[in-house]
Amino acid sequence: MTPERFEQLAEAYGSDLRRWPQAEQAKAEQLRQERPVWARQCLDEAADLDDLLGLYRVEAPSMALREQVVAMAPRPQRSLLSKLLGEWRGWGMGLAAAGVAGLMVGIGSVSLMIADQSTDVTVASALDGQSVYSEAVAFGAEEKL
Amino acid sequence: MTDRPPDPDADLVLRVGRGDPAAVQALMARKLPRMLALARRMLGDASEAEDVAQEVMVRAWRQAPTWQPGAARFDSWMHRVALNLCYDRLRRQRERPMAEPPDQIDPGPAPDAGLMGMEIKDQVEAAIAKLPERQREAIVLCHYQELGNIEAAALMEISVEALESLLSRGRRALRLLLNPLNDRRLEGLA
Repeated sequence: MTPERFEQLAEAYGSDLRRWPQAEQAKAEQLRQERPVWARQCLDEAADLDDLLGLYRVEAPSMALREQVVAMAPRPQRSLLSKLLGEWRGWGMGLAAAGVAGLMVGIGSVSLMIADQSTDVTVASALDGQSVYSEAVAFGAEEKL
Repeated sequence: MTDRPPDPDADLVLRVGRGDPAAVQALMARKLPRMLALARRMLGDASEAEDVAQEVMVRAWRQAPTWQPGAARFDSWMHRVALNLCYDRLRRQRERPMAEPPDQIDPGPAPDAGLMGMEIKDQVEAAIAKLPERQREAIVLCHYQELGNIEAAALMEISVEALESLLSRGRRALRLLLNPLNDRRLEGLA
């Protein structure tokens, strides 16, 4: 590599040889070792500008921006099997819900019937008691009761 | 047969395409700051840069399920999308009627005028904004985005020699703009 080419590269890519074209890095490094004082002077000029450019930092993305970006990301894909299982589960849940509802209605009906019957018995007992009481009063036996 | 190194993002993109939430988070952590920085330095406007970065990421999500590894690196593709969006906005800025003439010009003989009262970081930002667009693009891609010369030249659709020329001219212009600043900085260090 010629010194002119070294200067051109420093002018274009800056002081860090790792930023230089890969194909020329080894030869540039060799020249730097051969002429260290000249190379240092050449690279120092470029380094001054690199340091200034390094001061221009961009702030990190805001939380709001990150949330907006994630909200628009692809959702997890479901396989055909899991879709079918999901649908079957949906149907199953529906059937189960219908079964439970039916059971509840059945239990409700039975409870009402039992309640009706027990009401009849209670009313009958009450009426029976009342008739016994009435008869006792009629025959002057209230105190025994 | 190609000796191109494997795309470091390939596996992640594949998983994003399948909707893997961890991969989505990882790709966003890797690329969103990078796209935001690119757009910010190209446009010089935080709000517009956010819009561009968001749009690039949305397009990346859309692209992921059908991405074919091997054709191009995903990072290069994202840079291409981001640069196109930036140029669309820069074109619109130019076409927008302005009350005052634009200051988007090559630095003249006294280019540092107006920069002296600003913070150093802001002065660097302003100096980069004053560069002609192609010089700015070359410096942003090579210096800040740390792309190789071949990749940057391909993105800009120019030869490596033309890229080098843009870089040299851009850095010379920046040195002119920022030299007084550098002198002050060195005085401060002494």
